[in-house]
Amino acid sequence: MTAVEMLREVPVAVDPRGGAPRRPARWREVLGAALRRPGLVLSVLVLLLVLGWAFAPSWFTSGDPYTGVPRDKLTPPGAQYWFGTDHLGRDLYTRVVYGASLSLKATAIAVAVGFVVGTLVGLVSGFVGGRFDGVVMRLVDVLLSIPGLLLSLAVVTALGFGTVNVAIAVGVASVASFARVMRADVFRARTEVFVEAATVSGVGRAEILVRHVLPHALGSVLVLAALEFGGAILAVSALSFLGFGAPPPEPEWGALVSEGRNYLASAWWLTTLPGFVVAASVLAANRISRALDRDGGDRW
Amino acid sequence: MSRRSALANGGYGRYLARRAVQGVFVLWAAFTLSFVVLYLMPSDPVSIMLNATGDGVGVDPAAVAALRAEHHLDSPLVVQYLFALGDAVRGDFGTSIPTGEPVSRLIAEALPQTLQLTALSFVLAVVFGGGLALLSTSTGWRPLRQALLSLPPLGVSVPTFWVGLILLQVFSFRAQLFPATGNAGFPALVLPAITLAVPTGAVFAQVLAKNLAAAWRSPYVETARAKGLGRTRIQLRHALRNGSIPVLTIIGITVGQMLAGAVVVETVFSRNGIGRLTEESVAAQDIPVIQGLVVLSALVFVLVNLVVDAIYPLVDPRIGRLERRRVARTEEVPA
Amino acid sequence: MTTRRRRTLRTGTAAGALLLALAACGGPGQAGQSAGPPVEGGQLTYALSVFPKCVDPALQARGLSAPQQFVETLTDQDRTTGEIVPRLAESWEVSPDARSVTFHLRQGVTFSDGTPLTADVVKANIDSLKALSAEGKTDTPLISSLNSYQGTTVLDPATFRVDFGDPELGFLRNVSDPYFGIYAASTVASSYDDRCAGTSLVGTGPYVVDNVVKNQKIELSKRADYDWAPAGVTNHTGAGHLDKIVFEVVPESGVRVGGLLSGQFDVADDIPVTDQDSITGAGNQLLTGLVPNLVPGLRQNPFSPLGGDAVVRTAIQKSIDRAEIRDTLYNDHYSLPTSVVASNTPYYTDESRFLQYDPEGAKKLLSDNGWTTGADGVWQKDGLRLAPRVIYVSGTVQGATQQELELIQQQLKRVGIELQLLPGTQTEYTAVYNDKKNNSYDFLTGSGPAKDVDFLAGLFNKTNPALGGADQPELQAASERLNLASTDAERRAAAADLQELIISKGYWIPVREQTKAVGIRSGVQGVAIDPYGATVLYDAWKQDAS
Repeated sequence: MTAVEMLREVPVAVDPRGGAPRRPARWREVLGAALRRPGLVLSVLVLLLVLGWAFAPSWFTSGDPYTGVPRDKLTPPGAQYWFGTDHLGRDLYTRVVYGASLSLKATAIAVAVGFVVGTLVGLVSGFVGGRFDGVVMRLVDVLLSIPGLLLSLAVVTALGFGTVNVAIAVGVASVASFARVMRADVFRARTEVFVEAATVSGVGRAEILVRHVLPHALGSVLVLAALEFGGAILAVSALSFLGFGAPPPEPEWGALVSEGRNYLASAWWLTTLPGFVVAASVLAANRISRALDRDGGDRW
Repeated sequence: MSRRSALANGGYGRYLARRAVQGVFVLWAAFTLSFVVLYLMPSDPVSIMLNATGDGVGVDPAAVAALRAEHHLDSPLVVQYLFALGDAVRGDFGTSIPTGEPVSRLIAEALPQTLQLTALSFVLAVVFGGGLALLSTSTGWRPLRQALLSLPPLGVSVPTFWVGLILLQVFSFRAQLFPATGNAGFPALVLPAITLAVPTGAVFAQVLAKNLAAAWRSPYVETARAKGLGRTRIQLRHALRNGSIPVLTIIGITVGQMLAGAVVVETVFSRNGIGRLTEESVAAQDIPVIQGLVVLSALVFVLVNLVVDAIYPLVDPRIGRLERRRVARTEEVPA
Repeated sequence: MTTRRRRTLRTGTAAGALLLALAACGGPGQAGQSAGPPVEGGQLTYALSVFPKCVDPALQARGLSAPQQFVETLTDQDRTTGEIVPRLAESWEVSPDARSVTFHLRQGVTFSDGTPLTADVVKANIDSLKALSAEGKTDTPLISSLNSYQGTTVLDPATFRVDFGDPELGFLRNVSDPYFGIYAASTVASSYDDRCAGTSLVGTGPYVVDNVVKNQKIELSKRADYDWAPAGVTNHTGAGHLDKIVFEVVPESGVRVGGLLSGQFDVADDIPVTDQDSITGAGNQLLTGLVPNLVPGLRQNPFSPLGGDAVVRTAIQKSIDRAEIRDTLYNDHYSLPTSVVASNTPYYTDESRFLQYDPEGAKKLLSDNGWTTGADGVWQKDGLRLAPRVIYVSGTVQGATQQELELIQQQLKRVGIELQLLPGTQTEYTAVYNDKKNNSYDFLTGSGPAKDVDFLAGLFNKTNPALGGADQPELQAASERLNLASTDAERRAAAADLQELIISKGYWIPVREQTKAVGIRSGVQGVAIDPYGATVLYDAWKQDAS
C-alpha cells in the first residue's frame, strides 16, 4: 500500500471535457517499449499463466488435486511430479494450479470489497462534505491507525473462517485507503468548472454526483485497485497460512505452505515451491500495476 | 535552538497537547470500532467457555447464567459496551474466554518478547533499507544502481512467512547457525528479526531512495556541487538530511505494521509474543483478547506518532503539520 | 479442548492414559544401560508440543510429561506386567465386597515444602478431587473413578480407608493414574486457578517446580533429599541425576525436530513419522510407546439417517484401508487398531476380523440393502446420497487427524462414498454438535483416555452427550451389562461382548492406534515412557553434563 503514496505523487490527469481517455493504438511503440522492459513482459506472462490456472486448471494439469497416490508420497520434484508430492502422494503442482482459482478469487473479492465500499464512502463523504465528512474521515483515520493484517484478523474473528470471509476481511482493511483517495478526487472534481457549471444550471446533486463527479474521480481509485492487487494476494495468503482460510484439503496457496511446515527438514519443496508461486504472482502484479500507474500518468 | 523559536512562545506545548487529545480520540474510536465488529459476531462466548472444561460434563444452568452475568452478556449491548469501556479505561480488558486469564496480563507477558523482536528488526530495517537507498543513489554505475533499486520491490512482494521458512531451512536446519525456535536469547532473535525487517526495510529503502533522488535534483545540491563538494559529502550532509525527513513520517505506520507482521513471524519461528497471542486468540475466537490487541496496536500507533510529532518541528519546522499527517497516514507497509 | 492449536501441525499427540507395552526403535526401550555410570548434574531441555490448559494433571488429562517428575501417586504399575505395585502406599487391603480399600503409607516421605506425607493429607487430597469433579472443573476420568466415593477415614497417621457405595474393582489402578497425584496440604488448600497454572503444586517427586510460564515453559530443579523411588520400577534410588529440567513449548514439529538435531533440545515430544529417520539417522534415539485409550476414530450421530444406519457404518468400517493409513502417514513402528480400545488396555479383545479392508464387501453390503450407484458414482438410496459429513474442530489434536481424514476421504471415494470434511471453530463445532437431533452431522471424530474398559460402559450409554439419549437398544443393553458387572469374570465377558458389538456394527470406526514417539538426543540416557504415555526423567542423565 505504499502505492497510495506513490499515487499521490503522480496526479492522474483527466481530460477536462469529460470525454473518453485517448488511447493511442501505437502497437509498434508498445512492442518496442515492452522489449525495453523484459521484466514487465515476464510479469505479464506470469500473471497470464496464473490466470490460466485459475480459469482453466484442467488445461494445465490432468491430475486430481484431492486424490493422490499414497505410495508416491513425498517424492521430490522431477519429471513425473514437477513440484513433487505431499504427504498423501498428491501432486503438488496440480494442487498449486487448482489453488490459483481459490487464491485469486479471494484476492478479487478483497479488492472488490475495498474498492466498492471505500469508493462509496469516499464519494459520499467528499460530496456531502461538512461535518459528515469530518466524522467519516476521523473514522478512516482510526482504521488507518490499526495495521491492516490485525484489522483483517479481527474481522475474521467476527465472521468466522473460510476463503470468502478472509477475502472480505482483507477488503475491509483496504477500505480506508480507497475512501481517502476517492474523497480527495471528489474534492478536486467538485471544484472543476464543469461541475460548478452544472450546479449553477440546476442539475440535481445526485445526478451531478453520478454523471460528473464519479467518472472523473474514478481514474485514480482504479489505479489504486490495480496497486492493491499484489498486497491483497499477500494478505490473503498470509491469513490462509495462519489457518483461517479454506479448510484442508482445499489447496489454497497459503494453506499449502502451512501444510508443508511439518516437513521442513525432509521435504523442502512443500513450502518452497508454493511460496515461490505466491511471491512470483505478487511481484508480477506489483510490477504491472506500477507500470500502469506510470504509463497512466504519462499517457492518459 | 533557533528552530524552536519558529514555533511561537508556548505554541509547541499547545501543539503537543492537541496531538495528545487526538491520540486519546483514536484510542477511544479503536476500542469502540473493535467492540462493534467483535460483539456482533454470531457466536456465543459462554459456549466456548464451558466447552473448554470438557464435553459439557456436569454443566448446570446456574453456572451458565453466572458466567453470562459475570461477562455482562445478559445486558443490552449498550450496557455491555459501557461496562467494557469503563473497565478498559482502568486498563481492564476482561478475561480470555477459553483460559480465563486477564487480557492485560496475557498482553503484558507477551509484550517484552515482541518489543525485542520489533526493536531489532527496526534497527535492521533502518540500517539495511537506508544503506541500500544511500548506496543506490551514491553509485554512478548504472547497472549496480538498477540492481539495487530492484531489491525493494522484491522485498515488499515476497510473503513474510515464506522468507521465514526459507531462512529456517537454510540457516537453522542446513547450516545450523541459529536455533530454530523461540526464547533462547539473542541467537534465536536473529532470523525472526531479519524476516520481519525485510518488508519494512524495503519500504524505508523505497521512500528514502525516492527522496534522495529528489534531493539530488534540488537547487541547494546544485549549489553544493557548483561549490565543488564531493559526491559522498553532498550525499551525507545535504541529501540525506533532507531526504530522510519523510521517512520519519512513516515510522508510526511502520511500527504498527511490524506488530502485525509479528503475527506471521512469531508463528513461523514459534516465538511467544503478541503475534502468537493474536494468532491463537483468533483461532479460539477469543474476543476480549483480540479487542485488547487492537487497542494495543492503536496505542502503539498513537504513542509513536506522538514522539514523532514531538521531534518533527524540531527537525524541520518548514513542512506544515497537515502535510506531514497526510503523508504519514497514506503510507503503509504490506502485510 | 486445548485453546492452543495449530492447524494440521500436531499429529499423534499422546493422551494421558495407561499402557502396558513399550516398543522402541533406534535404541533400547529405556535408553542407556550400557553407557557407563550415570553422570550427575546438568540441565535437560525438553521440547513439548503443547502446553495444556492446566499443569495439574488432576484438572486436565492430556499430554504433559512434566508432572510425572514432581508429583507421585499412591500406586504404580510394573513396566512389563502391568501389575499394580506400591509407590507412596506401601501396602493395602481390599474388602471382600470391593467397597473399601485400606492403604498403609510409606514412612519418611516428605513434600518438597518439608511437610510429611500423612493419612490426613491424602484424605484432603481425595476429598478435594471429589469436590473438583463434582464442580465439573476437571476433564479427567475422576468423575467415574470417584463416582460412588463416600469418604476417607483416617485410622492412624499412616493408615486410611477409602469407602465406596458400589464395588470399585479398578480403584487401585485408578490411583496409579497421574490425575491421582498426592500434593501437600498447601496445594490442596490453594485456588483452582493456582493449581491450574501450576504455581502452587508441591509434590513428593524427585524434582520441584521452580517456575511456570504459561504457554512457554516449566522449570524444575532437583530435590536432593528424594529417597523413595518405587522399587522395581526405576533404575536407581536416591535423588535424580539432573540438576535442572526445562520444558519448553514448541508447537511446530519441524522446529522440535530441528532443535533436537541442532542440540538445542535433549528430548522432544511428538516426533512426526517423516522426521523419525532423520532423528535416528543422526545418531539420536527414538522412543515409542503405545498409548492405552479409546483409539482415535469416528463416531456416529445416532440421529442422522447415515450415522444411524448400521449398514452405512459397517460399509465405512470395511472401506477404510487402515494399513494404507499406517504405511502412508506412519511407519512399521505403529500398529493397526484392532478394537475400540488400544491393544494394551486391560480387558481388550481383538476385533480385527471386523476391521479388514474389504471394499468389495462394502459395495456388496450396500447393494444388498437397496443402495444403488448414481451417475456421479456415489451410492444413493431413496434420494439420500451416501455423502456422510464429519465434523471436527480445526487443528484439534484429538481423534483422527486432518491428514487421516483426507486419506480416508480418498479411500471412501474409491468405494463410492463421498466423505465430507467439515472443520469448524470450537463455537461452530459446539453449535452443530448440540444440534445433533436435527441431523446436523453424520459423524464426529474423537479419542479419549480409556485406561480401563469400564469407561466404554459410560461412553456408549445413551446418556453420553455424544449419543444424546438416542434409542439404540442393542448398544444400551451391552453397555449396561458391563456397567453392572460385579465379578471379574462378568466384567471380562461383558467387555468382550461390548467391544465386538461396537466394532461389528460400526458404533466406533477406529482409524489408528495412538503411539507416542519421543526423540532423544544422543548422549542423553535413561529416558523412559511410563504406562500412561508420559515421559519419565527420574533415571535420565546426560553424558556431556559438566
